[in-house]
Amino acid sequence: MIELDNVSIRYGRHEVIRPMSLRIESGEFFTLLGPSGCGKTTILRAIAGFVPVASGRITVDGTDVTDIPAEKRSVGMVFQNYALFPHMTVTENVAFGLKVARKSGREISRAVGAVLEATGIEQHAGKKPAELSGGQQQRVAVARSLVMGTQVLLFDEPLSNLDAKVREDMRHEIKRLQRDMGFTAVFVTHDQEEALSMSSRLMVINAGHAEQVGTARELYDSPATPFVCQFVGAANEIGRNVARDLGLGAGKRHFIRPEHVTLAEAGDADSMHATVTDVDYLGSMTRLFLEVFGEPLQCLVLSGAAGRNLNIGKDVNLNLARERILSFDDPS
Amino acid sequence: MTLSGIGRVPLVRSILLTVVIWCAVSFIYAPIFSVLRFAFAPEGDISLGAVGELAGSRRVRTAIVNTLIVTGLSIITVNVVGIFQVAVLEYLKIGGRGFLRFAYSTPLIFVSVAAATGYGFVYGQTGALTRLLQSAWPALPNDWFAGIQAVVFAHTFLLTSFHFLFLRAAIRRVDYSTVEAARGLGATNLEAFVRVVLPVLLPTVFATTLLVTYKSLGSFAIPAVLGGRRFDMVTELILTLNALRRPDMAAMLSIGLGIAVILCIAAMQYVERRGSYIGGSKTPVPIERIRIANPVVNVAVHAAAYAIAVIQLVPIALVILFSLAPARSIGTEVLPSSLTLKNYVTVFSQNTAFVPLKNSLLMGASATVAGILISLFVVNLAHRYTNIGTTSLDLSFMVPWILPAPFIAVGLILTYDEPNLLVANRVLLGGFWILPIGYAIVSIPIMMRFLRAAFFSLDPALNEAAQSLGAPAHYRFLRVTMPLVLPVVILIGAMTLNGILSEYSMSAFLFNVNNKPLSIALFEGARSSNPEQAAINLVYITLIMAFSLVIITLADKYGLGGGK
Repeated sequence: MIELDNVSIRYGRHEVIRPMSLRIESGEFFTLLGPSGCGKTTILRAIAGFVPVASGRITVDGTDVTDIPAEKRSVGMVFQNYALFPHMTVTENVAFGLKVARKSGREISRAVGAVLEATGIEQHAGKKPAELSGGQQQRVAVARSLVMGTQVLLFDEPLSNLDAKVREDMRHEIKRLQRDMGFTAVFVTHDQEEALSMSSRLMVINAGHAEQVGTARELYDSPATPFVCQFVGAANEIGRNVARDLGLGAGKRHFIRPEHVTLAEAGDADSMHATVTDVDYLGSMTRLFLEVFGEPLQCLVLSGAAGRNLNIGKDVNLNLARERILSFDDPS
Repeated sequence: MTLSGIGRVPLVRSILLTVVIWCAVSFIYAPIFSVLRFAFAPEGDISLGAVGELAGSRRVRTAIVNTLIVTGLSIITVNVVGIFQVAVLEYLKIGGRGFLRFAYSTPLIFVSVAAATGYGFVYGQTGALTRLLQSAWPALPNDWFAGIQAVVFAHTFLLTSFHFLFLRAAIRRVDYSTVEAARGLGATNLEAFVRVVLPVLLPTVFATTLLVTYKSLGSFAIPAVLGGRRFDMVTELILTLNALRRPDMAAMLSIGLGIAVILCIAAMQYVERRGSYIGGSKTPVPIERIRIANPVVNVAVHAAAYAIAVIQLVPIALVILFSLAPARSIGTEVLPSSLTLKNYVTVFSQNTAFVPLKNSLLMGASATVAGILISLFVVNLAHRYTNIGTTSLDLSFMVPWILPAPFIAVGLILTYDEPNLLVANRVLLGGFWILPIGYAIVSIPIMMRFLRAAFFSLDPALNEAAQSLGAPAHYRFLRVTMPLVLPVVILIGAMTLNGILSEYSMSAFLFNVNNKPLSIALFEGARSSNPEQAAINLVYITLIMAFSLVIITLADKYGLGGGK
């Protein structure tokens, strides 16, 4: 279990992480999600021990590690570029930590063999990192930390250097490893799809501040703030004219997901008129850009027969699922 | 965090830190203080008497004028030849480019006192070319190749290495699509060169000009060997003043030279910061060489290109050839009539001939090892901890970079010509180690520049990855950092050793009977009329060139500063 208690981080006079508390349970796959520069990697590096905290405490499995140097925390880390030692083979990379810990040759050989097999890279044991593909390097980086028997593994955007196909494979691979080996994973990403598909729970961070912690479904269906609503999944902010037509309360910001905006039959009394301003063909789905009462709105429709006739300039009727409208107080 | 607060500093690191700080104080700050003290307060009270005496000395004035004339002329001639060479190699379609590139690269291996001795051997009183010219013009005096013209001639063909290295690299970075764009807008090839290529190259031309200025101002071996007995430049005069027991005047003159050099370096830094044009293109097109359309101009350019190549190659070819010839051939034949390995056998078998080579290798190796250890320690410390303490230490060892070698040498002489507490009340002057200390001090800044580049090119995540796997600092340094920077360390070491083998400026001030180095043996041999001594000199020069060639080839192949 990892616990952050009122942790804040400063770079000089600038507070990059405002005081935040967080509890990550053992065996959880927890993701820190946020836009570039929001501070998610800084939090990860603070857990690893590479960044000192300005205030608060960090505990790992009940041990206060706040003042313990990185090399003594028993927290593994998989770096964005994997940080494999280029002058060492796969075996030497994986054995590095065990050698530091002065394990016996037999013990090292057995542990390295087992972890290489578990991560599916035993056939590359004698190769140098430069001879491996991105996905294979990723596996070595994971194996290098797992071989230490660490129960906490931190991932700093490890999929960002991979192409789309390998990336998807590796998502499943990491989830499988985490599930099979039972370690606690803390994963950093700015990719919401990646975060939603992999995590048991997530924390959305914005400008050094925790916006919301919850499961993927909670964040998507019940966002706590307009930022979470717009950052996790797509969301239409409903304009004043549409809001007035729907009878929504003033002094609030209202959002609706594109999939909750549907095309209606002509003559539907509850529907509103809209004009198609642009069309994005996305394969199975088509995204429509619409103008309603002079205000923009997006909706997603199946790219079937209905989607085929939707061209720029076409007039359509819309229904907005009122029960799915998300409303937030507008302090401004 | 301050240097003293590095925290949990192990005992070994504390001891090393103490040793390194002692080195900086003893061999950088104390000598600088001595120079300033002797220049401005030789008797204890502040005095500018040395300035007055220097200004009143006709010989000093002449040396300064000579230095300025040589520098001014060298700037012009080196730039003309250097830019022409770069145009021939990279911008114009000239036949035999491989041969020309080889010829134009020779100033990289034919340097300092070895090159001066080689030029003296070819153009000097008994030189092969002098004999050849005299056979055509018997009235030509033996000492026709001396004075300002000889020094400027040697500078012209020996200082083009900066153009070969830096200007060629700059012209290769020019995006040829910008030339094509200019031509598409109606510019001729020449107009495109003047309006598009040249503005991009000008900062580099200016930077190389400053390097030529820097080298010419402190030129020592070339005027000493080729200038003739009545020709002085500033550096040689500092040595003379020191020998005449006028340390105050030597110190003051070295300060003047130091100021000139510092101004040059400051200007270079300014140009380096302001003068780089970053191309906006993500896919730059390499420069294409153009064919000279006018046949007369084409022939003239070819002739000039090959003439320069011949001028640069002839001294080297004759040095190598005569190093394989019987000593009696030297000074009597234009080309040797027979070849032998006897001179090489003499150098390696006779103690008197081998001692300078042995001394230089021993002193060079000691200075190189000490310099690398200090540089590694300081750079690693400054890389890991950025604070006022580490920055001060880092900058301390960079100070010799902005001071001419004679300044440091005079400082070491003035500091250690009597018992000094800093070295346990011993007198270093006259001993073996004073010269390796000098070599190390002037070599450290360049070592640190390359090492710093290597350290900063390392991915910091590697160190953090090792740390997260439990490796303590010393283990990370030995197992992760060192293997990655080792190729750079080895190359820097080899290049330093190579430079020391023909180093003349520091050697001329600090050598003595106990440590006579190769460069001084070369200089003495160049002034000797003994053909046996001349033959040994030629072997020395050939060996230095061969060593340089190996080092430069390796440096070119593996690159420096990349941390590969």
